[in-house]
Amino acid sequence: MKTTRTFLAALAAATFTCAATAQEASTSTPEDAVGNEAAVEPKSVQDVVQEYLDAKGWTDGENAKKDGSRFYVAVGYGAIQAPIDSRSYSDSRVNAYNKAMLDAKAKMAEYLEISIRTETEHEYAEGGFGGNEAAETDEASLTSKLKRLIHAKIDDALRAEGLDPDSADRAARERIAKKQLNSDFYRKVISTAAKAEIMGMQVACSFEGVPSGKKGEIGVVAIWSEKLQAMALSIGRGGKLPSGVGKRPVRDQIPSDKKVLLSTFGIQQKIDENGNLVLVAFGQAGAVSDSPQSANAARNKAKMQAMAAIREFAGETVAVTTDAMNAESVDEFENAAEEYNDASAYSQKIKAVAETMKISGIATIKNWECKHPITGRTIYGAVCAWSPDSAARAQSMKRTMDAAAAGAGSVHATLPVANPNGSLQGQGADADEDAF
Amino acid sequence: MKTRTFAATALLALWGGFCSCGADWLSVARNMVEDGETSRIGNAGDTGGYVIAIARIGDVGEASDSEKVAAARIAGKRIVAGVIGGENVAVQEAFSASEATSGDESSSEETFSQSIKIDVDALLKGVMTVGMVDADGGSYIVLLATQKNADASQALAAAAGDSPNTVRVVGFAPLGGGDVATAQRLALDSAKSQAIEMVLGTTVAATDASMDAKASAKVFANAAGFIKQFRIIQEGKVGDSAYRTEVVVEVAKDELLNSYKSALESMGDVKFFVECGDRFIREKLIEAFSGWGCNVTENRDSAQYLIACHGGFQQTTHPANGSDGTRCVLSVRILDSATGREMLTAQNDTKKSVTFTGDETRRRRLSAEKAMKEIHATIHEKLDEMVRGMVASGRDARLEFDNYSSTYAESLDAIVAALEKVPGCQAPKIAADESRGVATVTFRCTTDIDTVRKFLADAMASASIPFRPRLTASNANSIAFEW
Repeated sequence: MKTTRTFLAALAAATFTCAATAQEASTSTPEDAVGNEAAVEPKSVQDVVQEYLDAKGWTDGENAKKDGSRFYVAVGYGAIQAPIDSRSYSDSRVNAYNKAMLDAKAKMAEYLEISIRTETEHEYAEGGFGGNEAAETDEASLTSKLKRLIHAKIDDALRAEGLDPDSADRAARERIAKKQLNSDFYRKVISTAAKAEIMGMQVACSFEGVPSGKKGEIGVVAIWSEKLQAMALSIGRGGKLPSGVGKRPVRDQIPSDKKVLLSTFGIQQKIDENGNLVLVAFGQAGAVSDSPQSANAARNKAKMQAMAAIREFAGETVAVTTDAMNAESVDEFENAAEEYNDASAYSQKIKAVAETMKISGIATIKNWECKHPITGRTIYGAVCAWSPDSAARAQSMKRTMDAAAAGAGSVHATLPVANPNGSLQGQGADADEDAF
Repeated sequence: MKTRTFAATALLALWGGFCSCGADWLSVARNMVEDGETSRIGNAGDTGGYVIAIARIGDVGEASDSEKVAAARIAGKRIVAGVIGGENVAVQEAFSASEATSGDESSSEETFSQSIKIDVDALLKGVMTVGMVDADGGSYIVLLATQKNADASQALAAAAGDSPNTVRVVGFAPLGGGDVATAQRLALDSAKSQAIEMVLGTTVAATDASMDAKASAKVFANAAGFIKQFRIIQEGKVGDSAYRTEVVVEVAKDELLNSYKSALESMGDVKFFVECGDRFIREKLIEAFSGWGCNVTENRDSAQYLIACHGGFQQTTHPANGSDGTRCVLSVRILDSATGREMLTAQNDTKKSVTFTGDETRRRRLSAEKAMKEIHATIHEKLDEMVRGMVASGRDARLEFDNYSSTYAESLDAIVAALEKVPGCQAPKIAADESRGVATVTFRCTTDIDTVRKFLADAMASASIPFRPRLTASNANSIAFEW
């Protein structure tokens, strides 16, 4: 806890610096403002996340609590792709959080089990071509991209001699190739795949950073523990979980500062006044217009995001595949010229599916709205809560209805502060370490 | 603020009333509104488990005041239904990122998609309108469901105080044009409906699919036939806009619990046809099924369920005196008239139908009477099981398409995808017969077909369907289209 306080103090100081800059900017010339802006280098989300982990004494991967219990930490990032002046900016922030959480889940899935395939190829050739390379061309393969590069070079040489590459015969192509003394081609492809059922992953803390004039980013520190997994299982199977020492009522643990809520995404496990575990999910959405109907839709979408977080916590199948390729080629020609080419490609695909699950006992314990500090547009938020106790109570009422039918509180560290240059740094509500 | 409070009360009056409840719930609700809380599940000493839901009134385009209140009440019920009945939540996310460089050229691409589908399909019972709250710059309707009220007999006993079969409710009606007599009657009707709704319940269907949200609530029963007697405690005008009637209603509890009328009505206009070679047995079956609240029709084609009775008479002799006897073999089945699926089967104990009195004609009559009397309880018990099953886990329903050909295969798939978004519709299966030009989609349905039709129309409107079929007809278990 001491480290947390130290960290929070440090962040508060950083925020204060930003706030002071804003104050100065309001009373000085634009030129001065530019100077001030240069003087204060805003921290990247990665920096803030690392500081958070350092303050907690956590590392990305497996960690141990004081009582010896193990938990896993995964960090994920997602970029806010929409331009700041876009109406979609609010939803893009939500997408950025979802991408960050998906990134963290993918890391967890890869940690649990990953299959790795590598393919390395080194080709050295002198003179003409062997075989029919055109037949080997596979549009989808990364290798083919490299081979196409070589063909492109021969095509260029043909064009330089006034020949049409499309109609050039094999003899002409070989003649050109012969001018090439040798070629050295290297390629390495790494492919990984992981698939796992991820359940009980919560947000320890989320961070939002929007550097002035640049795309914003959201970072998430996600955690998994056996305690969280037990809670996730209880959503689908029911059952009571052991209770502990009571804390404040969950409603009192929800940040009252809307600016903290603005940077709080996802789901967190908390302990209520009776010592029972409660899941609290945070959702938010922007309105597409200023109409009341649009506001209603945004409130509803925010609630859906919160409910989706509960569903995802209960378990989802996460599949991730990555392909990375690095390649280079050196061609030596008769005129002593040498040409170096390099190419690389990287792709990642993550898919998470949470099939339909009926969840009883979800209550919406808070709705909020506030203006985004940069865009000035209203963000609507919802906070939903679920616990085994609320589910049991709801199901008991449902059974009665069916039968008759046919007869340590959150510490809110840094407030998001916007400076006149349109940058933002925000940190969401911190998780209760006793609850996971 | 005073003006707004009056306006809120007037709005509520236009909707039609709320129950007489303690003021504590309104205080709780007011605090909830101020904290931005819209639903709470908890436990209170006197009511047991409870769910309190708050829905904002207004923001419904150009709707009238009464429509705004009605919409808010449906929204409130959707909240209660979600908390108690459960939210069916499905989430799918896909992310891909790629980058490639070749020499000095580089490109990168990132895509992300998320789909969230939430639907609700639940039966609510004992949900009360506690009242209205003016706070935070708006008017809110407050609904309450309690464990105590969810149990019909407990609710009747607790809410009334007079006798175990009575409930105290308040009805409101607008004083349109100063017509007191009409307002008086409407307020009383409203109170009676609420009494029944409190006991029998309301079905709520809702769907939220990313951008679209829709909710529908259907009163599970109408008041007719279930009100034994009532006593007006207090009545009179509320200002110049509404008429208020506080009434104690005695609900015909036995009739209410023994009749399947309400349950079957909640599925739509479900009809039965009795098919039996023996006129006497047929009449007895019609009498029995009608008495249990089933809508028995004389038009076989309009019936969704067929009550098929088969049987015969067997000759026997008295073991002691050797006299002639007759016994009746009776078998009653209920079949889905469209699919032929057997829903219920019951057979009599033939030994109990033996009679040795009179000539053969008389013996047959007496034997049939005995058989009917004996099988009556068995059928009632199995019908009870069947209807409860239909209410709880759904029944078979169909979408039927005429003029089908493979040209419409893609459209059919799109319609099935739309059907899957309709609350209360599950496990659709396609059976297409191009040679006959017919396609049928069967599915399990836990709601009435009108609600299915309404939600399906919305889902189809937003779906990409190359060839849209025309709606031609619908009945309690099927919707017919043609291309």
